[in-house]
This record gives sequence, structure tokens and C-alpha cells, in this order.
Amino acid sequence: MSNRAQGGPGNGATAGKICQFKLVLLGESAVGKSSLVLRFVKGQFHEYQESTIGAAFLTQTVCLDDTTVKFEIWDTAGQERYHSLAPMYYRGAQAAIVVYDLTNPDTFSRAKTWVKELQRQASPNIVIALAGNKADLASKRAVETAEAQAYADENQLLFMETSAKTATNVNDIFLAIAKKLPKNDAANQQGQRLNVAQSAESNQSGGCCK
Amino acid sequence: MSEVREGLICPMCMKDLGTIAELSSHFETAHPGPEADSNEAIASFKEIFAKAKKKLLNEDRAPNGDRPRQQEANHVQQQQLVYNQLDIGEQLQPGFVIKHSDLFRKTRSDRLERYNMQINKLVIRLSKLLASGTPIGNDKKRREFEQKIVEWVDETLVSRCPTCAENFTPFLGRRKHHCRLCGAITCQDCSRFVENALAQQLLQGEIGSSIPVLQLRCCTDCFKLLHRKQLSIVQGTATDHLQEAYARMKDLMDRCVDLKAQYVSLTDALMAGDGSLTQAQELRMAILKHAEKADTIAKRIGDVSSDPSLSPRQAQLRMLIRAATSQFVKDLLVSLPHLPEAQQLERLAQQRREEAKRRVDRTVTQIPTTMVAGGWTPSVESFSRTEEDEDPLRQQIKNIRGFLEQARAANKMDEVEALTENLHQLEAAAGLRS
Repeated sequence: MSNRAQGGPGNGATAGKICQFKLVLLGESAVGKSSLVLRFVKGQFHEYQESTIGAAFLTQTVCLDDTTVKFEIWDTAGQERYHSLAPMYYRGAQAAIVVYDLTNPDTFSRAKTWVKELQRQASPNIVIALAGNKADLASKRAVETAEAQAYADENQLLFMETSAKTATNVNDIFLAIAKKLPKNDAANQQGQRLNVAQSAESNQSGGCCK
Repeated sequence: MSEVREGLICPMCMKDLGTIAELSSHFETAHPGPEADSNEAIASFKEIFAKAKKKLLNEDRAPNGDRPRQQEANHVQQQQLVYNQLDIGEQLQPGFVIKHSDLFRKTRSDRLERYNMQINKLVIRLSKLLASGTPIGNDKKRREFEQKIVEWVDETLVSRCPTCAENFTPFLGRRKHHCRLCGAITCQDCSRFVENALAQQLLQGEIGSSIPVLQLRCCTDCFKLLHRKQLSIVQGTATDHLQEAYARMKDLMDRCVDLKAQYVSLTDALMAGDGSLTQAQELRMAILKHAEKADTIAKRIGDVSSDPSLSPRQAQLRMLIRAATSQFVKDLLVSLPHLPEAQQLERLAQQRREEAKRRVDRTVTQIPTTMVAGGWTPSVESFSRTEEDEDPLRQQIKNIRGFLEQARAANKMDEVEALTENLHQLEAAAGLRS
């Protein structure tokens, strides 16, 4: 509500800006990429989520102080045969979430190779987050928090252990990314800056900050 | 404490021997001491067993007081000697501790209550019998008055004095008399008279002044009870100086416990950045002062040598009081948490300020951060999840086309833009390859 009031025509030009970012999810198959993003976008969780074909597309908007951040999310398929599609999606992305399953150490090593690939091939300014998903299955944990945290620190990644099932840290990891993304015009060349007044029409159905 | 064993158990091998004789012979034969000293040990063991045997057979009936103290001291020394030689200190385990205080208090209070009820009944009757306006001089009237207050037992039903069991012989001077307080029959020898002074004390001066000399006959039982009451009145008014000291000491100890609770919560508060350090210091001083006072009193109570008239039991009790108090003080001092240094507190306060600042910063950024309800995604079900072996690129192009249709239908302009861009990329990639 406050955001909309701020974004009203009478306010200063800097208030109420909208930033749009492209975010890509990467990781081994069945680690919970689609579940994570579905929880974030729809607040839903399916015990038997079908495996993704190619890449799914989702959008979600979050309000951050006086900025509205719109995520354009590409949820890539984890299966090896779709690997060739991934570069197309992370190439233009400002942010990436590399997901692994904390009950499966192999997915963690796969996540590391994804991070390496991103560091080599993606935009140098890309914000990378590492998500240890399935935190609700802590009893079957096979990747220690400290180990993942150390790896994340070493590579300057955002790191959280998440659970799409219980919604733990799901919104938090997206918000952390949103905060870390540059929102001033100079630094944010790929992100598009829109005026609230212009985009108000397209936002109506979303009902921002009601 | 897995198991409690009881019986005639050999202290060396824990074997249960049936009888004392067997145990002592077993101990002599199976565990002959390594050195000549062991003879002494065995001798003292034998002595203990002999004693126990005597006790069991009720032979040891001599009252404790008769035994010279010197002998007892010797005995204790010998026992200690034995324990030292056996060197079983490490294997010793504490046994069960059962407190009998509650049982004792209950039994005692039951008894006291019963006595008090009886005594009170008698005192009430006494006060009625001696109330002002009672008929004096006229024996007949007086007797009627007394019988109105206490019902007298029918004398024809009693043939012997219930106290001494002697026959009544009215003609030889052993007549039947009634106790004026309970109405029972008693003989002359077994009756007493309540005297003026006793009645005064019991009723605390509420006797009618018209009664010059008391001639109130009562039985020995009632007299004993009245006497008991008199004793308690005398003891109640004259305060015992030892008891007083004990009460004062107990009070100080209770205060210590209360203050300690305050002090502990205050130190906790200090560590959490609340409360004043000087207040805590004062509290600590107060606790120490109280504990010291209690200890001084305990020292005085425990100083048995000053009073040679004490019985060994009394002396022991006093020493135990002393020991318990000094243990209490020791425990108290050990359990008092240390006060943090002013520097440390300052550092903590600094940390907290920073933490608070961080928290405020975080909440400031967090509070306005709200999720937008309901993001958008095209449904995947609308187009077929086709053949698995199809080219991924072509599959994805099909996907995106489906998405694009849905985005257009939902009037999602941003999404349409993004999807269109992706479709172009995909088509370009497909075109390059083919």
C-alpha cells in the first residue's frame, strides 16, 4: 500500500521504481528446483512434482523498500539431456540459484560444477545463490551445513538451506538475492527500470502490496 | 545403586553367610590378612560381631549412660583403624538416605494434639468449676454444682480403685472419691488436690476472687495432665537462650537463601545488560554478612566444651548443628556466581548495542519487504508432454510457444516480452544447427 502511495505521480522520480531480473535455477534432477520455485511463486507444494521438460517459466514480484523487484524465473530441467539448453538461460541472467539435495552428496558435487560453469560462462556480475534443499529431511542429511557454508563463503555465494515442503527459507533466499542485486541505473544495465505509472496497468491483476 | 544387599555379608568377597558364627569363621579362614596387623583387624571385627550378637540376643540391655565414655572412644578408634586397614574407601557407595523428619513431626504433632485436647478440656472444666459465683460453704449445693459440670461415675459400678487396684474399704478409711475434673472414681491415696497457685497459673488469674482456698480433688491422670500444662506455660514464657540462638541462626540462613535468589537473578540481568553493578555488590556483601553471622551463632551453639553438664547426645546434636551450618555456608559461597567486572559489562553492553543496531537495520529493511501474492506461471498441462526422444531444443520451442499463448491470453505483457525473446533465441539456435 505504502509502495503504491509512494509511486504515485506526485512523488519524486526515484521513488517507486521497478526492476526486472532474470533468474535461473540449476542443479541435478530431482533436487527440488521446480518445487522451490513453485513454493515461491504459487505458495504450493506437490509431493509428486513431475520432472520438468526443457525449462519452465515463472514470474514473481517482491517489494523491497521502495523498489519493486520482478523476477523472471527460468526453472531448467535437471535431466542431463536438457543440459544443452541451460547456457541459453543463464547467459542473460542476473541471478542464479544452484540447488542441491542435502540428503544426497552427489547433487552437491553437481552443484559445484554448475557454480564453476556459471563463473566461467555467465555474466561476471551474476549473483549466485546456493540452496541446500530438503532441509526438512535433516535426519537423512548427508551434506553438512558447515561444509556447504564454507564452500559458499569461498566462492562468494549466498547460501541457505531450504525446504520447499515446509517453505523454510524459500522466500528468504529469493529476497536475499533481490537485495544483493544492483538496483541503481548505472550498475543495472540489463535490469530494466520502469516507471510505476507506466507499468501500473500490467500490475493491476498482481495487486502489489495490497 | 543397582542393588541393595542385606544380611551377613562378608566385606571382602560379598558372599552371604547364614550366621554370625559362619561369617566370622569364614572371614578368619578365607581372608587371613597379609600382615600381622590383620590379627588386630580380625580382633576388632570379632568384637563388633560379638556386640552385634549380644544386641540381637537382647543381652545388651545396659543403659547407654552407664558405659564409660572412654571405652566408647576407644571403640570408635578401633573401628576407624579397621576401615583404614581394609582400604575400602574407594568401593564405598552411598546408601539410601531416608529422611524421618516428616514422620517424626507427624507422630509428634498427633500426640501433642491428643494431649492438648485433653488438657484443654480439663482447663475449661476447671475454669467453670472455679468461676465466680460458685456456691461455697454449702457442701451439698457445691456437689450438685460440680456434678452439673462434670458427670460423676456411678460409684456402685466401681469396686476397686482404677489407679492402684486396691479394694475400697469405707470403714477402714479407704473411701471412694470422685475426680472433679473427669468424674472418675479414685481412692484417697490416688487423688490429688488442685492448689491455688496451680489453678492461678493454668487459668491465668481468671479465678473468682471469692474462693479463698481450693479443695478440688482430682485423679492422678488429670493432675499429671494439668501439671504438664503448667510446665509448658512456664517453659513457654521463659525463653530458652539456645533455642533463641538457633531460631536466629535459622532466620539468617533463610534470609541468605532469599538474598541469593535475588542476587542470582540480578547477575543474570547484569549479563543481559540490565540492573546495576553496585546493587549486586551490595547484595553480595549482605549475603556474606548474613552467612558470617549465622556461622558465628553456629560456632557458639557448637561450642560444647563450655558446658560440661551436657549429655553426650546433646553435645553431638550441637556439633551436628554446627557442622550443618558451616556446610550450608560453604555451599552458599561456592554457589554464588561471580560478579562480572565493570570492563566486561562495558564490552557486553557494546556488543548488545551493535546487535540491537543490526537488528534495527535488519527490521528496517525487512518490514517493508512484502511478498506479492500470486506470481504467474503458464500451466504445463495445456500441451502434451510429448515423445521422450524428441530433440530437447525443439521440445523447448514447443514449450515456449505454449507459454507465449497463455501469457498473451492472460494479458501479461512483460512475460510475453521475455518469452518472445527466448523463443527467438531458441529458434536461432535451432536454425544454426539445422
